[in-house]
Formats: sequence, structure tokens, C-alpha cells
Amino acid sequence: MIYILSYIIIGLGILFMLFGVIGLFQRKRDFYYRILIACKVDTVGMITIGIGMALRHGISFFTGKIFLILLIIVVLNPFVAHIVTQAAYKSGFISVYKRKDGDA
Amino acid sequence: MDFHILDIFPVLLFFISFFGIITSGNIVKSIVMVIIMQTSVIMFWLGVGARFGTTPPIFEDITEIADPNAIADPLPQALMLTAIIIGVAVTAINITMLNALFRKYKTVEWDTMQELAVKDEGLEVQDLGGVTSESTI
Amino acid sequence: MNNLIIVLLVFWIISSIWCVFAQKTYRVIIFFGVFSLLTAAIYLFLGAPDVAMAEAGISAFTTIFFIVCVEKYYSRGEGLKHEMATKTNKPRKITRYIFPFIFCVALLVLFLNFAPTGYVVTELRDQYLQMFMHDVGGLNAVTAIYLGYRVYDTLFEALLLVVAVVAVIHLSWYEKTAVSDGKHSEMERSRMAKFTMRIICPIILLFGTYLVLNGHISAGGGFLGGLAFASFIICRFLVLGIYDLPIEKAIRMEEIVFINIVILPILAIFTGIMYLAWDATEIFQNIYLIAMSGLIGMKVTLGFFVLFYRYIAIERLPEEGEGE
Repeated sequence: MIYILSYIIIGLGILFMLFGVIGLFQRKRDFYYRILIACKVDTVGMITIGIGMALRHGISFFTGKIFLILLIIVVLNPFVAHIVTQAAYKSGFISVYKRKDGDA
Repeated sequence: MDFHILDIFPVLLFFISFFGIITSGNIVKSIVMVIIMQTSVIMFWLGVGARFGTTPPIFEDITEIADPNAIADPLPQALMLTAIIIGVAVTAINITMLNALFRKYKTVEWDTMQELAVKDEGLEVQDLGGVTSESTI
Repeated sequence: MNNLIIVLLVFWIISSIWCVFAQKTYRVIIFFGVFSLLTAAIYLFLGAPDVAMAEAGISAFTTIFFIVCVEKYYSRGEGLKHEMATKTNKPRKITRYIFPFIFCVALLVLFLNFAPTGYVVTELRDQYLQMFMHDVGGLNAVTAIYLGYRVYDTLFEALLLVVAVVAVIHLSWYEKTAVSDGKHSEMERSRMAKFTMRIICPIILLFGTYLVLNGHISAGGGFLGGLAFASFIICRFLVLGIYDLPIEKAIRMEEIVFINIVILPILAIFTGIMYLAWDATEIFQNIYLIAMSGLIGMKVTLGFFVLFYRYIAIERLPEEGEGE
């Protein structure tokens, strides 16, 4: 029973990542939209897959390692996206949509 | 030709990176290609070690005498672990030499740098053959 | 051999071909990062977790080396490039690519025809796997080999790292005023960076300690622990914006650690700990392995710290008219 549940959760995580990869190629290659999608999808998909793996393995030392990795991902992934976006903003990169509005 | 699949790919990669070293006009790209060449050699040795089995050579218990034919060879792994660290040392020295050259000539292109070096030493400018400068930063 | 390795190998080749034919330097570096990630995955599936972890850590370091160098130095020298671009003509460009291609294909065919077969020897592997628990101790055969049977290889590797650090120090330039460059002061203002580092740094320290202490019974060891500690130092001091660290003391300490690395295995061999000449118990063997892992970890930490800190925090291209 709990195996089936874990497989469903892992499949859900892979589905999240698939949606994100599809979403990356929409929106006319704008940098800010793409980094938003990439960060969100990475974090959510990895958390879901990690919870599925922990369910599948049961409670042991291995599960503790999985939760440590999940903690690192939850802290670091949005932070990296923040730093990259901040660097892009400070170096003067303007969004495609804003650029169009300014011209018009 | 009697080759394992793990031999073919590293040898192919070795010659791809060799082609890259020859044809690249940018020194940074050449350094990256040298690292890729070293990676192909490491992959070749690990492939030889994993020919008969891919279980890691790490055991649970002292009393366990495992079947050696299912375990990857630990000797290439230990040697390649040191080879990776040596590769970092080589890369660092490469980048440092490139920085020293860049400080003098203000360029990272092979052909431009050669021409400037020839000009500096008071020699005649040779025809270098197909001067390209495509790689940009 | 399962099919996953073959799929990964095909992607590996494709990423390297991207790397060869990319035209911009940033793209070359990013494709090299993809290539290194796939390399680490293949190492893991070939049964070499130690090498896979080392490759993953080192590829992150190398990518950042390249990006920092391109960003800080090489992007300023674009003036000379446009003069050369007018000389390009198409037939010479074609010959420049066609001849090396034919050369490489010919070499590949020659190699595949004349390479010896049957070069896989398994006797040494069997002997090592049977004897390493008795001779050196520990449960990890890779650690047992590079700290026991072939410890002199490790010594020369440590010597090479010392030589590389000394060469980098003497080939590069060093200016005290570069500290107040102001280019990195933007990072100091990010309060989020400081907060995140306060959470992450203890985890990295914990991970490095785990790797060093468990190197002989699971995957890990001195190299990987050293990488973790080096990334801790780099994260902490670059994000918090502390630039005047005692780098000369670090170099001096690295030399002292290297002398210790030379002395310790010689002591271990001549006192008979390593091959159980007298009734040395496992405790002595484990003490030797952990001490050696710790020393190598310190060595790698200091070496990487000096190399990285030198490039990112201290070095700076002199402005126009400032002189050599």
C-alpha cells in the first residue's frame, strides 16, 4: 500500500518537472520568467520526489539523509535564483515586455 | 575489432577533444578541451575497472568475503582520484599562465597573441594561415 | 552493463561536441559544466562513488574559476579583436577545420585497429580485495589503496598541489589595494545572502567532518572533506566580505601539513602498523587512517583556499596607465 503511494508521489514530482520544462520554452525566452519557472519547478519537484523516496524506504538513517538534502535544497535553491536575478538586474538587463512598453 | 562499449566512447571523446584543441582560436576553450581530454582518460580507466561488475568496492562488514567478480576494480579508482586533483593543479597553472599573458598582450586569441608576440620581438609578421577570430566573449 | 549507462554516454559525447562547436566563451564554460555533471553521473553508475563525488566538487570549482577569470579579466580586452576579424576568408577557414577532422578520424581508425585486446587483469584486484582489510584496515578498498598500498602516489600528488600553489603565487600579481576594489561590495549589502550562509555553513561543516571521519568505512575521504571545508571557507568569507585573511600563513601552514603527510606513512610502515608486523589491533589502523585523512583534508583545504581566494578576492587587472 505504502509502496503504491510512494510511486504515485514520485510520479507526481516527475510530472511537476515535466510541466516546468514545457513552461521554460514558452514566454518568448524572457530571462526573468524563465528563472522564476526554473526555480519553482526545481524546488517543488525535488521536494516531492524526496518525500516519495523517504516513504518508499521507511524510517532509517537513509531517510535522515534525504531530509537533510531536502533542507539544503529548500534553503539554497531560492537563494541562488535570488542572487542570479539580482545580478541580472544590477547589470542592467531589462525584461522583454518592459522593453516593448518603453518603446511604444 | 573486439571492443567493449566502455572503450569506444572514451577513445571517441579523446579524439573529439583533440580536434577541439587544434581548431579552437580561443585559449580559454583550449584549456577546457585539455580538461575534457583528461576526463576521457579517467573514464577509460574506470571503464576497464568496471568491466565485470559495477558494485562499489565498499563493504558492510569485516567478515564479508564478497564474490570478487561482481565488484568494480578499486585500483584504477584510487589512482584516478589522485589524477583528478592533479588535473585541478594543472588547470590552475594554465589559467595563471594565461592571466600573465593576458596582462601583457590584452587578448585571449591564439593568432592575435602570436602576431603581437612576433611584432614585439622585431621579427617579420609571418603568414599564419587562415587567421580567424570567431570566438567572442 | 545496463542501458542507462549507454544513454548517459551518448549524452556525454553530445555535450562535448556542443563544447567543441560553441562560439562564445561563456557557452563553452556552461556546456563544460553540463559535461562534468554527466561525467559524475556516469562515474557513479560505474561503481566509483569516491571519484564521482570528487569530480562533482571539482567541476563546480573549475567552472567558477573560468567564469571569474572571463568576467574579471578577459572581457576587457576586446579592442584588439576587431582588427583581426577582417582578415578571415572562407577557403582557409574550411581547410582549418577539414584537415584536423581528417587527421583525428584517421588516428581514431588507427587506434581502433591496432589497440591490444585482453588487457584487463584481475589478479591484482582479487589480491587487494582479499587482503586490504587485514593489511591496511577499514572497509573501503579505495581508501585502503591510496592510503596504504600506494601511499607514495598520494605523497607525490600532495607535492604537486604544493608546487601548483607556489607556482600560482609566483606567476600572478598581488596588490594590496585591490581589496578596496568595490566590485564585490554589492554582495555585502544582500542581507539574504548573510542569512542563508548562517544556515548553510554549519551543514557544510557537518558534511565535511562526516566525510573526513568516515572516509575509511564508506565513500568519502580526505580529498572530499577538504573540498567541503574549502567551499565553507570560500562561502563564508566571500559572502560576508572579509578580504584580509592571512594568506601567507595559509601557505606556510600548507607546507607544514605536507611535511606531516610525508612523515606519517613512513612512521606507520616502520612501526609495523600498516602490515600488522606486531600485534597491532584495528584501533591503531583506524587511528592512522583517520589521521591521514584529516591531514590530506587540511592540505586540500588550504591549497584550494589559496588558489580560489587569490583569483576571486585579491587579484585585479591594473587600470590603463598604471604600469606593470
